[in-house]
Amino acid sequence: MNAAEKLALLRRYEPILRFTRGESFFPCAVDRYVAECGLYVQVPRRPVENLVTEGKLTLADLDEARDHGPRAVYFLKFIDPLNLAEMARYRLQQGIEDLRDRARRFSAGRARLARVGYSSRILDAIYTLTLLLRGRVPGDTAAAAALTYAKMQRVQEGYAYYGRVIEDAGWTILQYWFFYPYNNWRSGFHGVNDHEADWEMVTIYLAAERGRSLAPRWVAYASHDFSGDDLRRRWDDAELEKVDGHPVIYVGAGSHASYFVPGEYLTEIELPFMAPLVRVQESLQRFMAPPASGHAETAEPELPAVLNLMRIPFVDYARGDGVSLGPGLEKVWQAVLLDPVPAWVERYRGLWGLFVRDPVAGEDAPSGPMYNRDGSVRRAWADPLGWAGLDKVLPPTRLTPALRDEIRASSDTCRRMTREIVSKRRALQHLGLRLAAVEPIPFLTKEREKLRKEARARSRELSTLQVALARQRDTGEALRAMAERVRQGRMESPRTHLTRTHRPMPSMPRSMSVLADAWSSISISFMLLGLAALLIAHASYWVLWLVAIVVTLGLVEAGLRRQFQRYIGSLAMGLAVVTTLLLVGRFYTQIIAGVAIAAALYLMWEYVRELAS
Amino acid sequence: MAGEKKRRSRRTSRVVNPRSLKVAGLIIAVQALLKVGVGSYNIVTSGRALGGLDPLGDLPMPTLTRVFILGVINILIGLVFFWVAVAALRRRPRAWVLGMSAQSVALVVSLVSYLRGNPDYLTMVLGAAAVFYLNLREVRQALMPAEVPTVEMADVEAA
Repeated sequence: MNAAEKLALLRRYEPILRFTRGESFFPCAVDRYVAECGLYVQVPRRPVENLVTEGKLTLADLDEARDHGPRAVYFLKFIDPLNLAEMARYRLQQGIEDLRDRARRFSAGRARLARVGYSSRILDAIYTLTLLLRGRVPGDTAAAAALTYAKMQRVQEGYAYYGRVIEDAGWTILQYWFFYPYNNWRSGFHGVNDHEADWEMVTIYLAAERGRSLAPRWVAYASHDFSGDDLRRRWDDAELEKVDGHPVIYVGAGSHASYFVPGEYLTEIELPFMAPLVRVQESLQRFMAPPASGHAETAEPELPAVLNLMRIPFVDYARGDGVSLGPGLEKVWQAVLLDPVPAWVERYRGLWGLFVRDPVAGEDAPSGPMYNRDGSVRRAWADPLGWAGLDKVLPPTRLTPALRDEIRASSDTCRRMTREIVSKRRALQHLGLRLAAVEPIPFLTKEREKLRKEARARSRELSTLQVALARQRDTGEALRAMAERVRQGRMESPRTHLTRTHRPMPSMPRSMSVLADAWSSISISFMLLGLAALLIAHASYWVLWLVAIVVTLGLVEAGLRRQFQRYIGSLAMGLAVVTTLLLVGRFYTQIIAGVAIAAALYLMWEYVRELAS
Repeated sequence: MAGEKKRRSRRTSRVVNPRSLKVAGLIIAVQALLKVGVGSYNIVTSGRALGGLDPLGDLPMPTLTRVFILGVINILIGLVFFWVAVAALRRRPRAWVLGMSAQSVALVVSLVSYLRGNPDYLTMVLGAAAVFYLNLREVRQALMPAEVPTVEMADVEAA
């Protein structure tokens, strides 16, 4: 396949991206971004060094060999934060534009903290406070990036993707890489992080059927929360929306994560120091409610109720109610083929934006399409089949011959095992004959024992072989049934490979949303203020008072969530259990004595009755 | 004809109270009696001390007032318990929530008394037992029909 054919193939299936209202950044050409950046290097325990100043950097500079030691981090810097006056002007301008054009304004809807419980809110408070201590992208950088990006678009409006075509194991793989100049999920949409530069990716897997041309079979969207089989959907899956043969992607606002279905997605992040507790809770959840044995089609939808209490929830808004981008639309793609792989992809292992030394790494910019942040090669780049769990799936043209081979191999194995069983059974029968002969002879005890032992071992071996043969026959039957289905053109359900899917959150009643939202925002602060008041007042029994405050806040929460009944039941049960434990601790000798007396009286009664009868 | 209809409707509305519900009602009724009894005793003793027979009494005034107020509170709690016991046995809609709320308050008071060195073991035992009984599945089924349908006499007869 030559470059023109590859480009035509990429064009034929290029995706349509649907963004959420309020999105400021869209996929753009990297050369325009790099032209605005400077190149820097950070060597541990040394100040940051500027290698190429802003405005002078080109893609060619990125492939130059540089050696600042193995621990040096190379990174680009896209933007400087705004000063106070510039920031005020930007905010004012934004406010006026929002008022003029309400359709472009983003509204978060129900607050994310109102969608989850107390423990998650406490963790969220800790996470928010850690932002003050750990490295992060300054808040006004997003505004500066939005201004610069808007300026770039005013000069020349353009939307680009970088495409690859790979042929591997009978599959033709189309990879679409999207580069966003900035990820403003935290500052723009109450999300987890902000960082300069953002690489996202979508892969389409094509295969030919006998006598036909290439056709799409699977599509996979990159995701942080899923891996392997759960990343991909079959082309005929109802969940996958298509317009004139182009797959539709719903893009998360600010995060630019890809979703198959529009909606609001609750995603969880885990604080590193909470990891052991998270594992414990997951084990408990598995123990209390084991996962459904079926695949995702039959499994229960993932509701917030099963969220891990030790993780922090964030909402990713992928509503698809904003700008749309793609073939047949007002804004169309500019396709760039990564073939041969350009040097800026292959040789630059640094970060594509600001390096802020965030230990959680959420605020550091990502590396290019080929590399992870640590410089290792991305699996999605090196092994696109294995990345989406397709390395175990045959393309249609190879399916029938492979099935034929498997059926033949299975039949051969069955025949071989049958022969082996016949021979072993005959040997065992002969052994049994010898055993029967020596059984009544008293002076052949040792020989008899030896034969018995051998007969037992051979019988076990024969039994194992019989079981294996039965399984082999069942496998052969299953293969033949599959071959028949393939011959008739019947396909399996498109979702049998899925174990877990990401579903949008169910909508919540609007009537109580305002109060619940307000409460979710201030409840943790109330708790902290209560604790401070107790400490300042030197209250005696301050632990009891703290418990009383938490219980009262819980009551308000339960009332707002219409879960008062469940809350009061749990509270009363908790108190009853504590009371019972105290009583048992205080009266355990009397309780044991009482049980002993009762047992003694019962036994006496039973035995006397027996005697009397 | 009309009489037969009335008989039938009366028969279909007859509801079987499970034994655990009866036990829960009985425990709460005992709690109610105890509370009313203790409250009345408090009021009588403080009233006698304040009534003129012994104007100064053995106790100082603030303590007497406190005993009087405690007596009133005990009687009020007792009346609530009494209402809950009757409502539970008659399967009134809010009986379970009100019962659990009242038991929570009573248990908190008992626990605080225990931690301050004035344990009231009888109240603690009755409170814990009442909560365990109210939390039994069949009691919850009986008192919260919206969650799980109850078994009615008519269904049993039809079966």
